[in-house]
Amino acid sequence: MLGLALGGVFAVSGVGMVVLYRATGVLNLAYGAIGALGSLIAWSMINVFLLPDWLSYLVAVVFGGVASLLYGLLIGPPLAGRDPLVKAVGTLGFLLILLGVMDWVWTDKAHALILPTTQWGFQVSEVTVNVTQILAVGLAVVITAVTEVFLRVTRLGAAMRALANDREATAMLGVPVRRVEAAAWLGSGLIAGATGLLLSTLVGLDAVTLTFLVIAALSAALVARLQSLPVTLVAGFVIGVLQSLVTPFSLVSSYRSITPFVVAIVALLWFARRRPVVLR
Amino acid sequence: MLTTIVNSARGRRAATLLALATGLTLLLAACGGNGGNAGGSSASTGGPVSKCGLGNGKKATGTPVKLGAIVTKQPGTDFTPITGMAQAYFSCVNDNGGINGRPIQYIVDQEQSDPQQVRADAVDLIQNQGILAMVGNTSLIDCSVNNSYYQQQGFYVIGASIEDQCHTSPNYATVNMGPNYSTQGAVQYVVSQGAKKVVIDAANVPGGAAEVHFGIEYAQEKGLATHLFLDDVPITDASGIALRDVQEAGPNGAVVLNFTPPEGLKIVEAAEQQGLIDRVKWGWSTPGNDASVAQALDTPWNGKLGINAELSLVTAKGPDTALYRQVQKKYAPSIALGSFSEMGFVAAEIVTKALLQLPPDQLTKDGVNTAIRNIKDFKTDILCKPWYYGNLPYHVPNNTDLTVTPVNHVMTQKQGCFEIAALPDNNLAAIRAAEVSQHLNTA
Repeated sequence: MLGLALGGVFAVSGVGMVVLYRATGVLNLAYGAIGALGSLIAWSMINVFLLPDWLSYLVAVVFGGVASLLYGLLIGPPLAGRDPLVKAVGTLGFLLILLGVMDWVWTDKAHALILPTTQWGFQVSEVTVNVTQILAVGLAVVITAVTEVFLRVTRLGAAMRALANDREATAMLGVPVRRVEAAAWLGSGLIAGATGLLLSTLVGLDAVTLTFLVIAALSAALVARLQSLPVTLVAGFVIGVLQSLVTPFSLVSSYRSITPFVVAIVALLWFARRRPVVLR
Repeated sequence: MLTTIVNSARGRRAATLLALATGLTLLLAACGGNGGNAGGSSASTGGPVSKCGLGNGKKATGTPVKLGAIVTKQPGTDFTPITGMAQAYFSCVNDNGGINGRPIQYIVDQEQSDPQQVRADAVDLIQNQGILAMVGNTSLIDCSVNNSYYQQQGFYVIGASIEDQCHTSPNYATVNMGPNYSTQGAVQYVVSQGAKKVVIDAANVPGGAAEVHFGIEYAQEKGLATHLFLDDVPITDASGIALRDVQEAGPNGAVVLNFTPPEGLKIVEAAEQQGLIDRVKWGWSTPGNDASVAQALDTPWNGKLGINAELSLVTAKGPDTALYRQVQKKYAPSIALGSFSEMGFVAAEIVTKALLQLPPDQLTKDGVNTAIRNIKDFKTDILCKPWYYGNLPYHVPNNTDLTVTPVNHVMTQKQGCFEIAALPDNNLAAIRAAEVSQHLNTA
C-alpha cells in the first residue's frame, strides 16, 4: 500500500507533466518545486498565521495553478518556437529560483504538514493504512481517467491534442493557441499543487526532496514516451511499488533511489528493441 | 511635456512594482515563521542572563579581528545553523564593545564534501583572508582533509564534530561529542529502557557507518544484537524505511536514528502514520534535539523519543542558555533553537572570552591559537561539565550529556547528565584520566 500510494503520486505528477508536454512541448522540471512551495505556504498559513487548514490547502493548490500559469504566460511564449531542450532548461531556471526562495524563507528547519485524512485508517497486517494513502491511489486513477476523457471529449481537449500534433497548423485553423496553452499550464499547476500536499504527508515536507521527486514522475512520463496517460499511471505505480519492495532487502536497499531510472531505462530499451540499427 | 508624462508613468509603475516587491518580501519573510518562540525566551523564563563579550552596549570599530569557519551545506546535510549562530553571537559581541573595541569579522566558507574544495577553503581562509582562528567548523570531511594542515599552520580549531577524525587530533577540539558518541548516548538510553536489539539507521554519507560505530559497539558489549542501515539522503521513502527498521528491531527492540532534523523527522512522522511508535523504543542522536522537531511532532510521541542532547535544553534557565535565546531572537530568528545552534553559540562564546583576555599585541595568529590551546575549565550552563582544550593527542572535552524528549511540542529533559561509557575503541578512559591528571575541568 505504501508503494501504491507513493506510486500514485508519481503517476499523478507524471500525468500533469505529460498533459503539459502534449499541449505546449514543455517538459516542466519545476513541477515538484511548485508543489513544494505551495505546501510550505500552506504550512506557514497553518502554523504561523494560524489560518484554517482547509483554506491553507486550497491556497497551496491555487498557488500551484497560478505559479505555473504565470510561467506559461510570461516565459512560455518567448520560448515557444525554441527547441524542447531549451524549453526544459527554462523550467530548470524556474526550479532554481523557487528552490532559492524556499531555502531563503523556510531555511533548513524541520517542517511537517500532515493532512487530516492521515488520522483515519485501518490495520492491514502489521501496519496502519491511512486515508491519505488511499486518496493518493484514488486520485491517480481519477485524475488520469478524467484527463483522458477531457482530452477526447471536450473542445479544449481536442485543441490540446491538435497542438501536440502540429502547433503551426493548429494556429492556422484558428485555434487560440495561447489560451489553450494557458489552460494546460493552469491545469498542470493545479495538479502540482495537489500532489505537493500529498507528498508532504507521504514523504515529508522538505523543499529539496519534493523538488527532486520530479525525477520519479519524469521517469513515469518517459516510460509513456510523454504521450499515453494510462501508461504514465501504470509506470508511476510500478516505480512506487518497486521502490517500496526493495527497501526491506539490505543487499539492494541502498540502491533503491535509482529505481525510477532503472524502470525508465528498461522501458526505453524495450520500446527500442525492434527499431533497426542505422549506420551513418 | 511628453517626456515628463512618460517618466511620470514609468515612475508610478516603478513605484508600484517596488511596493509590490516590498510587500511580497515582507510576506515571504513572515512565512518562515519564528521557531524561536517555540523554545520560549529569556523574558518568559526570567532569571539571570549572561552578556555578549564586554556587554557595554558600545559598537566596536576599527580593524576587524578575523575568524573563519568551514561548514557543509548540501542537499540533506546542512550545518549552517552552527556557523549562523556563531555569527549571531559575534554580531552581539560587536554591538557590545567587540574584542576590546575591535569588531570580529567572521568569514564562513560553505562546502559540498569535495576534498579539494575543503582544502582550498582552509588555505584561502588562513593564507589569503588572514584569519586568526578557526571557530565553528562543522563539515563532513574537514577534519580528515585538513587536520595535518591545521597542525602545520599552528591552528587550534574549535569546531563541532561529525567525523571521528575531529576527535583524534591535537589541533581540533569540539564543543559537541559528535554523532559517534552521541549515537552511543542514544543507544545507552534505549538499552536503559530495556531494548533487547538495537537497529541503527544513519545517513548514507561519507563515513556514515563509522560515525555510529560506538553505538553498535556499546550494544554488543551489553550482549545485544545490532543491525545498521544506511539510507540515502534526502529520504524519499520514509514510510518504507520506518517499517523496515521496526520489523528488523522486532519485539522489545529499539530503533536509533542518526539524521539531521528534516531527514529524521520524515522517518518518525512516517512511523506515527503507520502506528509504529509503540512497537519499539525510539532514540535519536543530537540533531533531533531541535525546537522545530519538537514543534512538528504530535502528542503520540510525548515521552517516547529519547534524543541524546550534548548540550542543555534550549528552554533551560541558566544564564548562558538565556543569552543564547536572546541572541537567537535578535540576531538569528530564522535559525531554530536546538543543539546545532547551541554548538555555534558555545564555540563563539569560548573563543570570544579567550580573545578578551589577550592584550592587544597578542591578537595575532600565534597569540590567539596559544590562548585557545590553553583554555581549561571553561564553565557554561549549556554543557554538563566545564570545557577545555589542553595539550592532548585527542580531544573529547564534552563527554557527559543528557537525554531529552518531546512533550506537547516542547523538548523536556528525560534523563539528567550521564557519562558516555568508556569503550575499547572510544578513548574515553584515557581522556578522563588526562582530565584528572592535568586538572582540565576540575579547577
